Amino acid sequence: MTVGLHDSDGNKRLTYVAGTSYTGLYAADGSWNVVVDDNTYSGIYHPCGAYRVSSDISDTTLYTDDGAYRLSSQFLTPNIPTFVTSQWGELSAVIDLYADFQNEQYWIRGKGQVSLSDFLSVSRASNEIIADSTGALTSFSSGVAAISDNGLQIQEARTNKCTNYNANPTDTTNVTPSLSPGATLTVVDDVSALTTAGIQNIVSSGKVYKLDNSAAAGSSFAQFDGMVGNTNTHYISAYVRGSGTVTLRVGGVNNNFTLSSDYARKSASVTPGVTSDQMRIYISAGGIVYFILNQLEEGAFVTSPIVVAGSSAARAADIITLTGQAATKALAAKAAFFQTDGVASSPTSRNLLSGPTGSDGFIYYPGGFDARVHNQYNSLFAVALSGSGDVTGITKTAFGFDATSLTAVMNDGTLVTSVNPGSWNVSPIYFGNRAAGDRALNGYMQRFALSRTKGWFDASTS
Amino acid sequence: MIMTDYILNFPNQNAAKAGPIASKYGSTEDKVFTWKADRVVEVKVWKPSEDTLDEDENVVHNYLSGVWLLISADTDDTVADNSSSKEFTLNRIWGKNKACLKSKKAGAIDSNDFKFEPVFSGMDVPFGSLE
Repeated sequence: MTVGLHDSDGNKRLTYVAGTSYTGLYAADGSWNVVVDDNTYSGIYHPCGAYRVSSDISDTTLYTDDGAYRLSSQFLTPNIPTFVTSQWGELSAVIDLYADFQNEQYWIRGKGQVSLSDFLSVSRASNEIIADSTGALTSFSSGVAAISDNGLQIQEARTNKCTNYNANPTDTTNVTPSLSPGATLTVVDDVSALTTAGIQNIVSSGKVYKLDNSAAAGSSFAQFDGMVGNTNTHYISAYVRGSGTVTLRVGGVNNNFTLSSDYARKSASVTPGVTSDQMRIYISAGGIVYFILNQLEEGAFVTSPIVVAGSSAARAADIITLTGQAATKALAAKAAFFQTDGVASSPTSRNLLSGPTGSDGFIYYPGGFDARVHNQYNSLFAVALSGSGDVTGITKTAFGFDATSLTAVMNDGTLVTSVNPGSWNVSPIYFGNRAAGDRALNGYMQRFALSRTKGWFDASTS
Repeated sequence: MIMTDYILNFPNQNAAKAGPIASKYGSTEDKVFTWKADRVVEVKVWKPSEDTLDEDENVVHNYLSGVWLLISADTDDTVADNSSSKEFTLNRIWGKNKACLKSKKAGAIDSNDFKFEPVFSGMDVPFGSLE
């Protein structure tokens, strides 16, 4: 008995003889068109025998006559890791690079999972200290990426102008007290409170300054050696705890904070009156302040702690460069995604990606317009959904571009399209700053993705 | 891995920004020259022997003239090594950051009577210890 679907001429068009290799749908010439064997020949065929859709697990692909891919579903296969597919789903099929800095997982198409140093280089001649999501501080040596569960920190250069021993004091060298009767300035052990705050790895000796004003009727202060040197805007900061009201001050303006029993970093913007001004910490009458990691830095926002030990000290800029296939794929990209957090609100622009020369900071958060992202070459910008937000919180930005236009969206806000031809315009190399280390992101890069097709951008934002 | 730090002295800003050091360690962006901030910091230099006291008995440094640069390289750098402006060369061990004097220019200032700031954060400078 012949079982199957037959043409009018009596020829079989479909057989389903189980257990053989001939199960399938046939063309009139006898060639297979659909084969449903669960072997390597399963798929839809052209009469010439070429694959059109193969359901083979290792090669699930839609082809044209020339055999070129038109749609690959390789994201279903194990060579794209879960951390990519869980984030991007089917769009993983056209992603070329995905970096999840918070979880330190990185993938490049064609290379698989890679380490950070496989696609980024970090140049920095100093240590850098950053905090994780709990506030715990870690110091990273020269040339090592400063990364935590907050993401990859990218900061500009700063100098702590204080010249005391702000992390591991043994005495009050370079700290000059002005004490009301009954007050004392000493260096004391405070390991437990430091550990609670998560800063014990930086203040490794466990010793801090204690300005005890509990028996005094007036205020007292400690002044740190190291002058401002100019009257530009500075930021002062310190970890403080205790009781009463602490005042951080340069010049004549008081910045008051109520103390608690746990360490907290307090900071304030100051405008020096004269170049010889120095940082002071005051404590109110009857109060006690424990303090450590005092910092006086020139700039419009506070940056992470810089350890000083008897002289002022500079934290060098992070200059981060895309290397190898990351640079190649960035050059070929037609879509990009960035997620940042904790970016400083600043009058200066903060770059996401830059080219090799000075003026081409072509994707950046512009200074003074914190809720926007710009492409410098065609003045494209996108405005956040609220129209009044900033980039100090988690900020997601996506770009897509093709031969005729460039489109951007920020924080799921308004999709903005430029009529100018879309492209990077220059070779993207610098990641989070420019060649000189200026216009740094001054925040955390959390996630970064590149795709070679604008369709990825369109699909992800539709 | 050993980092190499260089201390260089130029008579003025124009001289500093004109030579091969500026070509390698500087960048002109928006037509403004800047030193690459990952590697270079301008420093103030003084001789402790020339310190004075002000009316409040505070120490006053008398800074040496010219433009002084601290440049940090991952390894020995030919451009800095060959610069006639180089005063001192230091070696620094990665992760430990202790900087030791490697060499100095003939006729350079006595390194035991030489201070500078800022240093790079984490850089311990026991100057003169290897002389």
